[in-house]
Amino acid sequence: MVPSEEGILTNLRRGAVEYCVLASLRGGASYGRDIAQQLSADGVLMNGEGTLYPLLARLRKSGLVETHWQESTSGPPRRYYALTGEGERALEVFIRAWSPFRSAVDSSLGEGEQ
Amino acid sequence: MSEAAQRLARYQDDLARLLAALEPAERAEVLDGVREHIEGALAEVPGEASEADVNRILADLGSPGQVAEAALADRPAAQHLVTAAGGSGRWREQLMGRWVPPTVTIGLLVIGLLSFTPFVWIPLVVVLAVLVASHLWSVPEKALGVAIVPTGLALMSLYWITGKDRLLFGLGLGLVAIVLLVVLAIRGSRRAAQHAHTQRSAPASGGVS
Repeated sequence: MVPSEEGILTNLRRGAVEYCVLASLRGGASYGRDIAQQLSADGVLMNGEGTLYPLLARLRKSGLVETHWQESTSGPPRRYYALTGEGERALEVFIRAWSPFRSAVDSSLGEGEQ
Repeated sequence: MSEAAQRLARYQDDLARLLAALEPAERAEVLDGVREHIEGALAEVPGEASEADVNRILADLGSPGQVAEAALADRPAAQHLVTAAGGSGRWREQLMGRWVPPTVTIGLLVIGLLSFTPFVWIPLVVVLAVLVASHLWSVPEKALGVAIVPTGLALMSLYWITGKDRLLFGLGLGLVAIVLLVVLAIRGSRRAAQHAHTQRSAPASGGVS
């Protein structure tokens, strides 16, 4: 059976998207809907803004992000997520590993084409 | 409750049910996040949220099945138990198939019509057991479903014993029973379809690891 594009994306997202969430917090704390809108804008990284919340729960459980409440001008108080020290280090490790991984995939796909 | 608020509440109920296999604290956190997301999105809508606003909010969130799939990813052991609470095994998973809602509701209808003969009481118990064990229905829905046939039988017996003409009364109740069964069939089928969706995408991810 040929896997569907959506099936392949599901596999690729696993293990990568949570670091994109961490990366989106590098500029400072943010709240769920803001992160979700950033990451799901093109539909590649996430298939639905709601899929962010399981990721955030998992990241908080592993101590990579922490939460605090902040008032909002447009509605109820918001739960803000911020990187912990450990989260920052985890992100650095991922960035180091990702670059060679991406090049290796790119080059092997490129070779296959010729 | 307005139609829009009901749909938002139903979305969250469905998600809560699909996340039954998660540990309670994590499940609560996911559900809180989604609830706050919805509340925040509603707060940005000027005035009362229209149907189009609710559609957009729910479309942006993705289906409950997609969210549940993300929540249960990396849990190979839990994947086939998306909704089977706490890991009670594959047989409960079987009871979430698309065949379950029509079988249970049509079964109850046929058995209910024949329930004056004791021969159908054993199949009745089997169908009720499936209804109770399946995760496709909420507890109040299960209670209603279980009550239908015994209530009808009790009223029928009352009619025979007292000999009083309660035919019209009985017809009305019969209609209520059929409406209840139709509602159970629709709700159960919708959840079974969602569950099937979750399952279809899960093996694709589990198969490689």
